[in-house]
Amino acid sequence: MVLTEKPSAAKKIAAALDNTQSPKEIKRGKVVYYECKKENDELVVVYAIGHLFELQQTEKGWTYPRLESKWVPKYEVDKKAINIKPIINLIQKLSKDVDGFIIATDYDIEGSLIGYLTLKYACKADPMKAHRMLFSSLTDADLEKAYETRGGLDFPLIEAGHVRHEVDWLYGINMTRALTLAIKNVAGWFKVISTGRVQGPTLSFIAQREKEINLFVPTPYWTIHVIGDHKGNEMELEYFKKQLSSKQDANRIVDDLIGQDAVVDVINQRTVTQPPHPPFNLSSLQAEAYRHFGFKPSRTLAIAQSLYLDALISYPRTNSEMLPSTLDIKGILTGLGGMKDYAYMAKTILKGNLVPIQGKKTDPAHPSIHPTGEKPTKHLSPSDKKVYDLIVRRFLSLFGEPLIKNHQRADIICGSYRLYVRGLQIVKQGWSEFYGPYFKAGEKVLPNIDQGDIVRLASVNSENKYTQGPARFNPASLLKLLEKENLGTKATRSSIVDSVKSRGYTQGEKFELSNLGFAVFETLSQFIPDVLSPEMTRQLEIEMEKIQEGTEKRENVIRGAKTSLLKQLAEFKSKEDQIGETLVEGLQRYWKDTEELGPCPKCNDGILRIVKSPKSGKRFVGCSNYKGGKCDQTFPLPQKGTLSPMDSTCPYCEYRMITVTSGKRVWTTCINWSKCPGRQDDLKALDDRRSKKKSDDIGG
Amino acid sequence: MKECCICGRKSVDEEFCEYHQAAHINLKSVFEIWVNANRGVTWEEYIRQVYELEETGQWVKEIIENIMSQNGP
Ligand SMILES: [Zn+2]
Repeated sequence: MVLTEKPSAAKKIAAALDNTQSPKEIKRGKVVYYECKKENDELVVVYAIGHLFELQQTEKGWTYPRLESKWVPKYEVDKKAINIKPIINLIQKLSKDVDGFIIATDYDIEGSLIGYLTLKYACKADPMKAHRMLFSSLTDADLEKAYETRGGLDFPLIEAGHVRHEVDWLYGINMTRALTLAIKNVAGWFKVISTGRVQGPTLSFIAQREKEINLFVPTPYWTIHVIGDHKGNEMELEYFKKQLSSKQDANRIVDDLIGQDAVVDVINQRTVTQPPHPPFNLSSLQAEAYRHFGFKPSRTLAIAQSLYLDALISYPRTNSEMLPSTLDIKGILTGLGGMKDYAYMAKTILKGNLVPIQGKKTDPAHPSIHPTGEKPTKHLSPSDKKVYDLIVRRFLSLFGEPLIKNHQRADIICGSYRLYVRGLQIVKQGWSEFYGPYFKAGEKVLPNIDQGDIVRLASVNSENKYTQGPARFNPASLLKLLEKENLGTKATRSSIVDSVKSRGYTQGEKFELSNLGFAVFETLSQFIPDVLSPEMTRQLEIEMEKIQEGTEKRENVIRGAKTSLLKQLAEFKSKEDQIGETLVEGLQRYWKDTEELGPCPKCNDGILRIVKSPKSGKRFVGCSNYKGGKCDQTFPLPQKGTLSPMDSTCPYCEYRMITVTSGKRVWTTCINWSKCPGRQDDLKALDDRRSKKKSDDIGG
Repeated sequence: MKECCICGRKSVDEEFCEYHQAAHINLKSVFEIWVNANRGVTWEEYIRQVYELEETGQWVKEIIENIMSQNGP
């Protein structure tokens, strides 16, 4: 039995290993498996869908501390995972009739653990006797080689995976319960407030940045803009100081320079040689995809993952910036040479010595991300195509010659003042020719001037500007910071970045901290700052590495984690009331900002807020006095998109305004929109659109 | 326990919470840079201009609103 990680990997692996490349696909309900023949071995290829087993607490009660757990089928912990039940059942049933097991999951910590847990709990097999296929791409050649050279399981890697899951489980479950119960004890509400081992420090980074932004006071500065006239030709000149901190200075410079003749003093040239950028690892790919396409890191990872499953690129969850000498570079380039877009470049490179530039970062299991040279067998979506093109071009650029740039600067003198004119010339394109659209040259021609020439300063102006505050994180910059701080792994970082948003701790694409995020951050930093510190996670990553090297034992690490967790929880318990109060205050501020819409116009002493009907699940605006039967004022709301109350009121009807964000569309309206006299035209247009859509639906 | 008159958090100086206090201190200290940059700028002109700049931090704006509301229009 060959155990794979995903359905598409199973299909690919079965095809690669089968003698005739045509394995038999067998359907069992909604689940599929493959039978194939490799020489004389009869193989059954099955798949998991990521983790099939999850940790569950063994003691009773939704409380803390809870330290003991066991592995159970994931659907017992997470009801949404019920689709994996038939998969486990099938593996269980088929495993009774096989005489050996080969793990062919992704070669990394999670993949190794998935294989091990499936083997142990679904197949009930002895892991010591099982085999492991190791590969970095899903090409036929790599898979066949991995099959021939298969060895035993990588137990240190599996142990490290166990430790990460257990520690994450311990911290996630206990800290989340502690926070949630603190609120419940103070206010009686049940609102789950989650935190975790990596999420805490991530929230802390965002909150620190938010503080700096909120405290920022801009300061003024001035810039000088000069247009010169040289033999009737206009040219832009730079004042030698980029910024001036006083208005008086700026005015004086303008007065002194305007209308004067300046002299070209010297013209300097500086040649810069720039080697190609190193090969992609996951984080540099994610950063570049964000820069050029605006893709979130999690999206880039998902796309890269699917390109990997199509055998178009190597395994993307890698830290490496190196290409091993064993890699068949010639084969890859020959493959790329068969594709219309890359044929010319690949053929040019194949004439050279095929030595790529290498980066510094390494990975124990995988090389840097590179194309496999296989042709896409199906149509790639536009986003897939973009990421694939970026990866191919980066790979091709590794073989290019250095780029040579010429920086030029003419110094122009007027009295005691100095002005510059700059030029930038690309002397040799080198690798940038292969990197193509992902390289921005910024070429600028230096005007045709000589030493001693006179330039008349025809126009001189000063401009008042203000300093900019610190920038908010975007998904790529936050991911980079996590990597720099060694928080999380290349596999988990992008989901952590997403989770702070999905939990309501931040809002908007730019990670603006919400009041809820602030409340959680404030509470944690006041009462249990350790949870926000990256220190614990960093320590754990070091210990996991030691386990992988065989110099530390899983039991010791877990014991240590439990001891320190118990200490933190005891401290938490002693301050539970204060913690609860701080969180409740923060939540109230959060709800006020996100749900309250001011006083009720009907009863005057109630507050309008956004509520959800328990019956239909639809949201609407209701009055807080509804509960006592005192007021039945309601307003309908759009059901799609995120709503946020605004401070302003409607110019037509004076009801409060709201912003609706749905996908990329953002619009504003008042809560009285269905009756507002100023919005009847909009309403009619909406009705027209709807009835048109309906007739379209019916018609076609 | 006294509350911050702007946001209701616990106050640290009888008037503002730690964040609004920090914003207040920042606002006062940056005034000197503005005076050096633009001789003759008054405190009132300064806070009015800072209030109108998009880059100004939220807590700073709230402090300015608080100051302006005390001084009257
Ligand atoms: Zn405050």
